[in-house]
Amino acid sequence: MITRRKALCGPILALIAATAGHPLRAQAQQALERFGGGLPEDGGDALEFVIPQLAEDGAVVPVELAAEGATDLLLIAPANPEPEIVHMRFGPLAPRARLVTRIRLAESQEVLAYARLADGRLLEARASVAVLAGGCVG
Amino acid sequence: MSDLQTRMRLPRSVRPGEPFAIRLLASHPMISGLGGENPLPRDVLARLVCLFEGEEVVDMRFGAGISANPFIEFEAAVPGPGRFRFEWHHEDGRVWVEEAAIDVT
Repeated sequence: MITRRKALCGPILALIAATAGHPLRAQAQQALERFGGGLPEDGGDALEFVIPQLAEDGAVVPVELAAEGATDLLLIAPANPEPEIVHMRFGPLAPRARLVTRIRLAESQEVLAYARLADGRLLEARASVAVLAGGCVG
Repeated sequence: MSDLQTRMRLPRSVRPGEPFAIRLLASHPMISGLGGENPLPRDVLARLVCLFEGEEVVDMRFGAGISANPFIEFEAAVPGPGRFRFEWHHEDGRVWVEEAAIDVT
């Protein structure tokens, strides 16, 4: 069912993204700095990042992130109104850093995943997701 | 909302140090407060902490970028029997706590 609010939501979010592009990128950058910053290396096989290339419904996009030897994982959707999706810290009783969850994507974008390794290195993986209906969040 | 319905799935029994998955689900709308002309008031769970006998498994911070009815899966491995504690934190400071025992043999 398409409600009035849902119908309005996509265009408004798109407008916010278009008019406030720089602040959004700055928010994404700040999230990375809170994560400890550093120069990211290509995660390659060491950072597993599974997300659909095509999401029919941006309100519920399944995602899986995993990295052996990581202490923290971070997920950023730069074009979302709140780019920092999740920061997860793994304690001594987590045998490996792995997260499966469902996220919202306001529009099509390149989603960024990061892993902080125990030795301080920062791994990065990127995935472009085409969103048919923006994940408007009421 | 004063109550939070949560569900968890974890094995009843594991071996010492054996990795296993914990799956959690909370019934919550995760309202960002940004939607459309007349947005609903913001209402967002913001943190999930999982401890086993006081020791940290995961500490997860998030916002409205997590879908409604948050589903979260991660792995744990424990040295012996004990109790898990799951804390769901709302942005406004409220906390809901669930506990679950696991048998380790």
